[in-house]
Amino acid sequence: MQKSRINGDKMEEKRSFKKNMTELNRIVTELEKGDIPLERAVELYGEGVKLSAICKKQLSEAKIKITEVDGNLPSEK
Amino acid sequence: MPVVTVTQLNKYLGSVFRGDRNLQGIMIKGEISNFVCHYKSGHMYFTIKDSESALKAVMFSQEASRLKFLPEDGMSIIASGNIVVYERDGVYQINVRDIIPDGKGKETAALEQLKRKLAKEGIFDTAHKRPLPYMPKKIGVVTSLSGAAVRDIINVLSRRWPIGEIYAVNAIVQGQSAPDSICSGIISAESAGCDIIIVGRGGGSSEDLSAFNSEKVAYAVYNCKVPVISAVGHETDISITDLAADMRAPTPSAAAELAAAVSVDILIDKIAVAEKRMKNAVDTFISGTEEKISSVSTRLSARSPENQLKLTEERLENLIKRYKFTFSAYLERNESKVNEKIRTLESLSPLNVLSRGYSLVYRGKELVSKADTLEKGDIISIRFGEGGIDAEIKDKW
Repeated sequence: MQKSRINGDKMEEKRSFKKNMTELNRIVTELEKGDIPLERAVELYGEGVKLSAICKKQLSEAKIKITEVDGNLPSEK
Repeated sequence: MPVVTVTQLNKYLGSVFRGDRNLQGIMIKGEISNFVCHYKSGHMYFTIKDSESALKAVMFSQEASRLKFLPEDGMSIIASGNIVVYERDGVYQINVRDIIPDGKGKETAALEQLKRKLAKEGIFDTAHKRPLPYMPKKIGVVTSLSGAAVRDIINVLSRRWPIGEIYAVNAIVQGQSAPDSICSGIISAESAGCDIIIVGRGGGSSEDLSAFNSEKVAYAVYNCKVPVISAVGHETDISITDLAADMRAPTPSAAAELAAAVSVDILIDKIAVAEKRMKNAVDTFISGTEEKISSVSTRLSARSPENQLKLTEERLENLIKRYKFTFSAYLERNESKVNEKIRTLESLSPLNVLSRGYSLVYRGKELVSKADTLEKGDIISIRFGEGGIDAEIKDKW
């Protein structure tokens, strides 16, 4: 149980920020609908809290990746 | 000296003009005045003049219809054509084949012509403009990497959108090879998987926008599979690239801001809002559930045996109360009746009759109502209204 949880976290950290954010929004919407069993609500809330923490982490740790290429080289060959 | 007619002279001069190579295929520079376009035939009549002289000019509809602009008075032009004699009036004029605008106006007019052509071909259609991606993954930058523009873009994106990726393609932005270089830069960024591309000038003082006004670049922008933001950066002139692009930015920094419309700060706010909404939803959920539970337990306890007993007790007490009330009311009502009876009874009491002077006569315990039942010497008791006596019968009547 503990193990799979850690793996799950890692998977979400690897997932793109955009996907995590979309998932977070989906969870919020489902929670707000309200017509779900208590167990599901608890589960969703847990997931949402985890996701929002991951999203914040992804934002704070993000560093822009820059690739510079010389577009003229191939045409000059 | 031979005598010639006017017609002969004009015909002769016409042939002289035609025979003079200097007058055929000539280019005349000047300013247009008295411009008239014959509305029916489409022929154009005007004068080409400079500060000192003037020349009549005719452009027939066949040639005139090929012009990409409408000549007008005051326009500096170079007209090409042949000098001919108009024999009827005895004047010479230029039959214009083509007009090109002169000097600075030439470029402007050529640009206007190209703009019109591309507009006709749908390159600038708003229907073709695509929305910029929300949270772009890879932002292509096609510009001179030695210029300030790319630094500005990197600065803005590092701050606003560090989640993203920049793919910067060096391109020549001025001179003959610039259009090709920009086009291949766009294609390179597109094939590298960019989901948005910024195309801009490398900065510097040059006002040379010609590469960004080329048809090639316009088509490259139009045909690009992902949205393009132009950052040609000229306040007064809108370049063809600006018109063809999906979005136009006044500066490279502004282009970067447009590309990263959702900044990290906004996202942090959004996450906070999402957290709050989740918490609210859970709170609402819990309080709703609590309400449901308490309503069920209220209904449950209403049906408990304890409560039933209590209810029965209450009912019993109630009955007793009603009984007591009814009974006492009954008593009250009857008491007055009894009192009345007592009064009636009292009024009928024989003692009352005795008080009026009547007496009762007993022998022993027997009330005597007939004298016959008594004999001489019998002892009788007489009862008066008050008191009584015993007496002996002395005589009988």
